[in-house]
Amino acid sequence: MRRLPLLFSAALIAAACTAPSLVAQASKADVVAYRVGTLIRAGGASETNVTIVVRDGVIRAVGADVAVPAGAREVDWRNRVVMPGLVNPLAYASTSMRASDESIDPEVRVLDGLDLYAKNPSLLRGGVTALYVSPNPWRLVSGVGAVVRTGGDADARVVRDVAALRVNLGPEAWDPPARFDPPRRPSARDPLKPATRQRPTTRLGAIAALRTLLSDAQDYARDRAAGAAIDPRLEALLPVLERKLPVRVHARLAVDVLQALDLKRTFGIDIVLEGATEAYRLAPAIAAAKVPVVVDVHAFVGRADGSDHTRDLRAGERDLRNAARLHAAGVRVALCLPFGENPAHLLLGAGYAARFGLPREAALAAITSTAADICGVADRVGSIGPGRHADFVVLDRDPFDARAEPLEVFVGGESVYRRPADRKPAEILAIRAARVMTMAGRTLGNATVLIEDGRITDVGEGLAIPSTARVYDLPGSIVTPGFIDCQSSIGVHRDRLATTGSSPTGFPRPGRSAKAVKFGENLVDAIEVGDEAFDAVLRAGVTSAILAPAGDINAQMAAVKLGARERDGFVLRRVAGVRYKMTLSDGASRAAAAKSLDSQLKKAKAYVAKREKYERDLAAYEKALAAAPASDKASDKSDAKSEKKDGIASLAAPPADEKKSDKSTAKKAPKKPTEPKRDDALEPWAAVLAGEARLVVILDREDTIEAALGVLTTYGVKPVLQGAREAHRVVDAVKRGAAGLVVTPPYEFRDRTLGLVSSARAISDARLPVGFYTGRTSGAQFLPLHAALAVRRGMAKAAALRGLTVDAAKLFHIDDRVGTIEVGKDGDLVVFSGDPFDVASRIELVVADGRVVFDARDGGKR
Amino acid sequence: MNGLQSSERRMMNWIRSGRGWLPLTLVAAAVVVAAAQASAQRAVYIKAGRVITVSGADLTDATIVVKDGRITAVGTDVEVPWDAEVIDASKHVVMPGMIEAHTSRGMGTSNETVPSVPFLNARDALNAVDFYFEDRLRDGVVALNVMPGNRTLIGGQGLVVKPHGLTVEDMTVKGRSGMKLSLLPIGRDSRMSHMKKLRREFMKFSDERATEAEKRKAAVETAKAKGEDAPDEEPADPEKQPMIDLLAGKMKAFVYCGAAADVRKLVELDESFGLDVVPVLGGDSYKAAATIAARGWPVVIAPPLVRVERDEETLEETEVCTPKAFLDAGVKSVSLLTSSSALGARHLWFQAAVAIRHGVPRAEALKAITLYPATTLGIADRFGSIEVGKDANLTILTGDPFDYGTWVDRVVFEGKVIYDRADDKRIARLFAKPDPAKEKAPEKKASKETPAEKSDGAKKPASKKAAPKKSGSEKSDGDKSTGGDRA
Repeated sequence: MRRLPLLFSAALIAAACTAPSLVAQASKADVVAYRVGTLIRAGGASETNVTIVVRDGVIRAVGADVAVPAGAREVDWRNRVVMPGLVNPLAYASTSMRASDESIDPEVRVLDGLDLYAKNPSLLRGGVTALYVSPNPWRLVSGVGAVVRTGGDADARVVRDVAALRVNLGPEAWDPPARFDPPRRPSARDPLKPATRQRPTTRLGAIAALRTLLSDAQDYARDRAAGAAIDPRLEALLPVLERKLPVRVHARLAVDVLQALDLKRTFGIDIVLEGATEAYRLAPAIAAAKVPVVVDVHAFVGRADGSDHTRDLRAGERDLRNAARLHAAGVRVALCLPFGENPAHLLLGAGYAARFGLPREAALAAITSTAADICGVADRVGSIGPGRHADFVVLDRDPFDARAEPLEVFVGGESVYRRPADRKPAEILAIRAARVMTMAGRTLGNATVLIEDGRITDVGEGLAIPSTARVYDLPGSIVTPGFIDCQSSIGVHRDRLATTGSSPTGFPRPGRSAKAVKFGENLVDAIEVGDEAFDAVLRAGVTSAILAPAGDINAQMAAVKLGARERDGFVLRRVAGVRYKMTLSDGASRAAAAKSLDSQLKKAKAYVAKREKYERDLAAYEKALAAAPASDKASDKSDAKSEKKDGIASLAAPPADEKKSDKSTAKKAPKKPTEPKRDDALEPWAAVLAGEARLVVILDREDTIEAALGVLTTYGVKPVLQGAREAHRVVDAVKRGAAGLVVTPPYEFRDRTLGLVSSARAISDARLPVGFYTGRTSGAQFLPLHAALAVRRGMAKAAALRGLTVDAAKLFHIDDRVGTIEVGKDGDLVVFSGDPFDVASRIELVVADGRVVFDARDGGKR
Repeated sequence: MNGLQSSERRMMNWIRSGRGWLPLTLVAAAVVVAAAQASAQRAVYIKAGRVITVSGADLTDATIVVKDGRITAVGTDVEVPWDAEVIDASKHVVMPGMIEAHTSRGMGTSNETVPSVPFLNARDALNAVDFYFEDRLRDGVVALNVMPGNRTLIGGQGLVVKPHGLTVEDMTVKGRSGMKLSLLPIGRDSRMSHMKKLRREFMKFSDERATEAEKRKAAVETAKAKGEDAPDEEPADPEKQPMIDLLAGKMKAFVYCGAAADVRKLVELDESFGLDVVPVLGGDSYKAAATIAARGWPVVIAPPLVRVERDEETLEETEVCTPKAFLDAGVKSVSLLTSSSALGARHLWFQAAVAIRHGVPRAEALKAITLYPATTLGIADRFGSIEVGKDANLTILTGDPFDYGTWVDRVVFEGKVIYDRADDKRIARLFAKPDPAKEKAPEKKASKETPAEKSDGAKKPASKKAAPKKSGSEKSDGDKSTGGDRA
């Protein structure tokens, strides 16, 4: 028979692809001896205290007492378990899922669609170092699968380019598309013709089509030997007839299995069963035919099971002991995960099969040596032995332990995955600059700021820099603390508004009336940590913000760190302030506004008083309880003990317990005081009265300011004024009664008698803190510009810089963490090339929580 | 400036609309006549301020002697024939003409919709008067390999042309440069279906050849048995001849790979059929650099030359300069291509400058637009460097090739000036001042700087050449000065 010379032969391609890359060679050249505690070599059996010698990516020797070559690097894995890299006997790649238009297309090769340069991190993490990648399941004959490695040198990844021909007997293949080849320009002479239908549409058709195909191939083989022209489609089937290429038959039901066994008998071909949900029913027949089976473990690890196998007759009747029963009957079994499941969970899947009766050794072999054998690559992958490519997985415990996740994975002797350490060593940043404006006393010249683990650990002139520190040497630059936006709605996006807008749990839209506000709600709950809107703001040096809903509405305000990576670090202070609107809508009188503020505070005070009374009563009650007789105490104690002991049970029935304890103590002790109901709307106000949160009052005219301050003084509350365009008229009253002012442009207003004035400047000149805010869902990056404008409008530079940093922090009681550059404060810094208020100054570096979020030197990339 | 651009656009529209063809043809004809007169020369002598030989060291104040279109001497101390015509480039830099190893422009639609058409030749679609060629000449290119495009399976043959001449015959440098194949799937095909079809084509042709060889062998044997002379070999079907030549290794295979994944398929094709492969590489093909280096293939790199790769795990972004990746992996010959879509990347010198900026040695970057493409196209005996024995195909620049203020002043082909910026009407019109009264004392022209000063400029390559803003203001003065320089 005449065949094309050396046409696409597997061996040839493998030879062509093994030319090692120059880069890989250098790293592989050394000799390594691994001292292994437990080794699973092949077939699932384990040995202890074995040495593996690897040179040039190939295993040279394995054994208890092998000679370690001189100069070999020794690796101590005596408390480790080493097993062969896992072989997944059935997987699909996204490209291999692209079905061709042909119902029968044996010429398709999966390998042509694979990217052997892909990194496959998720597979390697699961310890899977080799895969049989199958063609798509949507056609009767959908092509030829390949076995490839998942990592390492791309040129050594092809294990077997032509591994098996895929046949699907299931209903997925019964709906091939009709063939349609329209003329380029349809016309009367060249009309659109109807498409040609393709078979099969039933099981009947599928079997008939397969038989025709194989007998055609037999005829072709004869004709070809006699000199007939080549037919690439049938040529692809010749290796099948010669039993050089097995046929992978996807046979889910018992009837499909029978058909597959029949095909094998009729045409004398090698088959491997796939899927095989009902194979257990025919286990003896399969064993007698010596047909291996790739069993789907039906263990859905990473997702929910989409099919209803109890109702769907086409899916077959499942038995989780399928693999065990086949193995018991003497069938060679490999295990795979269900269609669509991430193959990285293969080890868990094998453990699951072991749970349902598959012996431990067989289950391990089913994802290593037996799997490789069934894929026809037992001589290349799936076991650890001399001459083998060094593909193995290192575990710190038994492979079937639930916590057994690979510590390290090797392909060709090269480490391709290493489990990241739980915690990275703290990174030290050292920033050297011409001036450090600490905002806590003096400005330092030629100083260094050290930041470790997110906190400032040292500031000063001529500090010793630790050798491990990442040094930013920025001569001529000026360092300031990270800036604080005193009010912003950053992170509230349009879509988030749409979903939360008016829902019971939602937040008011910007500009909604005060009625829409639910006081118990806090904006931090709606905002994502690390929102992309924060990026631009961080780059402008704004590292903290006081979050509040947009618009002049009553609301809670929360202090957050924009550079935080986790929610824990994100919220600086959950209730940093309460915003209250005193500007009036038409018709209401100013007296009424002051009165309503007063009644609000009165309510809050009553609430606080009630809580304080409860706490006093509770203390008295506990005191009385302590003075009660010992027997009562003991019973009380045992009560407490039992509650601790079976926490879940007692949690389920706390009222009964309470009643019981009530009864036992009712005779002598005073009655336990009932806790007053918690009111989420009043809690922030309680914080204001306790001086823990700042009241921000939105007001405008001098009479309102005076009225508000009058009311608040009686409650001992020092508010922050917002708006307050006529504050310059009542500077003294403001100085006495308020903590400060928060402003946003424009800063100048036309006073009815004084002309153009700036209340911000007047208050600032009176040495009261003035903070800056942007107050919108976007635009917080312009905060430094806002401050610069205030300087242009006459505010002192020092006051403006304080307003961006330390004063803002003090206004919202967050000065324990931010606002200054001092030891122990958060590592939030902005480095300017010159004066921070100079328009030409560039931001060189922004550090937030000890992390560089902007570096001008690498083009702004992080 | 805006007004100028729009007037230029109007002119282009006018020409495109067809009304401009006649005058344009007349202009071109005049150029040809002028060239024909100049061709009466016996010897030419080029006085060069600096010569970038590419094959050797640069020479300062050197002389190139050309006889019958061939370089007969290069050096600083060279005897000059008394009757030689002088091309004065004493204030200029002379380098070998640039070469583009692969392009699919200048021929309208570059692919037939039928995917397998090995019998086609780009020659048949080449439009000699396409503006593309005029532009490339203006840019200092002396040879282009025009091939069918990438949206094909077996796309047909290409040819090497010079961007000058009125007919394809005039332009042709090498009539058949190679066969175009593409591994990039087309239409609804997946990579697998595409490769399946390509295998099919090769299997069929290969099988046919084997059958014919057997038939022939049988015929010869029967003739021998009868004691007759062997029958004459039947000439092959001309439609099949290109494929036969390709499989016999008589023709290069320019194979487009859109990704590293395609390189493996190219290796398979080569292993199975023994092709003379020139990979044309796009996408992330640089990942297969080691594979390519191990096979010793020359590479032709499609833009963009700088790729940003994102690590899916860490989301870290890294910049990869593809020519550097290939050179670092040990590839011996790297040729750069241009792209019509980006302003800077339209120019070969810019592509080389980008490579230098990302760490490719200057000498290698120069070769990547001259000697390497010449070798890859099999025309290195005539093109690619300034050496004795090669054709005098040169580009004369006003400064360093990588200085963004540099202009192509003249292009010399076989010792004849085929392009002169002073005569470039289109450039003159593009940069003409609408109101000369406004023009004040113009700046000194870059060409008057000493060569040493110019090389400083090489460190900052940018697309200035393509942006006529500043150069425009210098233009009229520059023209005068270059004109005055010439004898």
